[in-house]
Amino acid sequence: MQAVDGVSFSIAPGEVFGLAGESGSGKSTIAHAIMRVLRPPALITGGEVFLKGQDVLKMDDDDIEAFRWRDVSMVFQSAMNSLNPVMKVGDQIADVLVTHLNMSWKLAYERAADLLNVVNIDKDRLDGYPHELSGGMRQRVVIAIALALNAPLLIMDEPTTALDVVVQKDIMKQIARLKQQFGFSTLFITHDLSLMVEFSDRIGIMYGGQIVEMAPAKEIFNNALHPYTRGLLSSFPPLHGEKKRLTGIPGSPPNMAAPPPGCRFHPRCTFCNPIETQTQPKLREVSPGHWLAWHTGMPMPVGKT
Amino acid sequence: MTTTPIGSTNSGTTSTIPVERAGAAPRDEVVLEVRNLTKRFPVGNPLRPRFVHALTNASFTISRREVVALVGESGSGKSTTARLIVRLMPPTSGQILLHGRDVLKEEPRRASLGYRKSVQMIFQDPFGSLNPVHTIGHAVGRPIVVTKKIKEPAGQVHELLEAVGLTPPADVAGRYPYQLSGGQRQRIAIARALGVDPEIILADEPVSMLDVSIRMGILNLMQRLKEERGIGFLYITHDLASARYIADRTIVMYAGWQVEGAESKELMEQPAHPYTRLLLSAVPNPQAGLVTNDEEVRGEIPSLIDPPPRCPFLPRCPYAMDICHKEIASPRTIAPGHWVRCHLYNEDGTQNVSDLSKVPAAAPVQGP
Repeated sequence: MQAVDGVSFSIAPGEVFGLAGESGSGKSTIAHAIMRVLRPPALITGGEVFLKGQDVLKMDDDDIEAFRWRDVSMVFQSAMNSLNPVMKVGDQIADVLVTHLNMSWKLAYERAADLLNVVNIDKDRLDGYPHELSGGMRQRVVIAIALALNAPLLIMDEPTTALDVVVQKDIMKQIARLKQQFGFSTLFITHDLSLMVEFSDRIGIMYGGQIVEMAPAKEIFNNALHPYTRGLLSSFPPLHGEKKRLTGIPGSPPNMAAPPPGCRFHPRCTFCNPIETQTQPKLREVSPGHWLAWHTGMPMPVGKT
Repeated sequence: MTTTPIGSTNSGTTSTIPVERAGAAPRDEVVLEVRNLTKRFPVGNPLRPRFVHALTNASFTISRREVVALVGESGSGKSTTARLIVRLMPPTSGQILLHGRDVLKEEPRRASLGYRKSVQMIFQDPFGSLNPVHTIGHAVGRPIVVTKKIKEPAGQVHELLEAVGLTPPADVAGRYPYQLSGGQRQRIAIARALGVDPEIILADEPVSMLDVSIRMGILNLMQRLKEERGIGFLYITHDLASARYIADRTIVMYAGWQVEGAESKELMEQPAHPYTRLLLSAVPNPQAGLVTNDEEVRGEIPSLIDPPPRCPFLPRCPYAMDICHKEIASPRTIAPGHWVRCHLYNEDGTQNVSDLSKVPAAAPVQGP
């Protein structure tokens, strides 16, 4: 089964790059591949991941150990459940600092208090256990741990999906502020397109393990070209304006063990030309910064026969 | 409210929420009404019990051909409301009326088959609500066998599967739950509920676990069933936008209290309660972008264990006044069909303060 197939993108310093798509579209697999935490039987069969010019996939085990958290940190989907329930919050934060920076425990504890302060949690909580915190606070603790080493790239895999909207807004605002302060780049993964457009600079839309459209966030929102992107956008009822009947996308996501030939979206597509069922469209730049993989939407080649 | 007075109620908070008919377009008859529904759960030492006030004085009606949405954060009492109505557990106090008949009085020990036929429920998790060892045909047919005493319900099953958009029905009926996607399973759950010809369906977060692209399909199906079969829905969700999309009326809940209710469109455009305004401002708005410098309302839902008799939103409310510490406001009507439980409004519905901008309602829309 090919979970991710031929995906390429880059993230500039300080940029937020979003990956959106349904479950099973390969978003999280990409994040795990970058962190090299994919476990067998998963295999990375090809491709390269460069971080500041270094190929992550070629690193040996010692290097990767250091690379994780120093160069890339990650907030997982149900991160609030990834805290160790029998370990004090302070110990869990300080542990990262002691392991990676050989800090003394005393110093690490002081730094842990600073980090909690950054995410707006009282430092008294250092002595508390995770079950004493609410879901939103636990999620903020995980973000504090992810920020501990000032990694230049932060991967957030559905960081707020399990949280209520008010808490979600609060956390996203905090991350945005921290990003301004520390200048890290972010790979932001979610299926909530409204949140993604609000928070990201650039967005890649994934379907069936491939990026089908990639453009600046505003461009995706205002001028989406791919039928799947437009379908996704029409799956979110608006909070303002006229009430319109929305259709969502008929059908179900593809079976990735036997993906459909041609454009992987064609069985669910309402604008389908015969060519889509035969050859797979390649991602091409249709206007500056706007990439698209859809035969029908490609501009006619000019001046060529 | 102090520790043990189960069943007793606070003065000033008992009054039934005004019936939201006045001024609104005439509707079909009221099918289900709940009055002052209250649920408390004992916690801790059984000799000196303390109580979680999961739901306090919930009152509302659902008519034929009407979708009523309950929105709020986790722990606000939305699901408790549905579970009480479907009688999975008994309420601490309050009434449930079906066509004006007090069902708790008439059937005190357990709900009759007749009641269960009238009021059906759909759960959030379509992966957990179907028995994996039975075929879809069996799952959908069983309620028909039990309630209508039909031995071979295959014909009805096929009709139901077609009604929820699963075709070809003969093929689907022979499959097992694991062969279906989440969206298809939720359609099966709806088909099962439809099998007994219910008047009311309680849908507890029916689309939250589904992929975004198939959510609209399920919501549109509910809409169609409402229009074609006249079923009334209670739609429980934390997603305000989907409540606006499907519900005729929306009620906002906070910490076990219903704090505001109105026609969905009016509620989203003219939110009155500070909590409703906070909730609306937290919905991501792609057009406006993330606003990072607006005033923050911090904090989370307060503990529900024996809460003090004050407004539950008080610790987070930027408008808190003295009276808010003393009592919870009774519901007051501020516009036709629009009521709010907040001291910022006088009993006659006029506003107490001139400036409500401390909690921004959702950012203004730009462009078309």
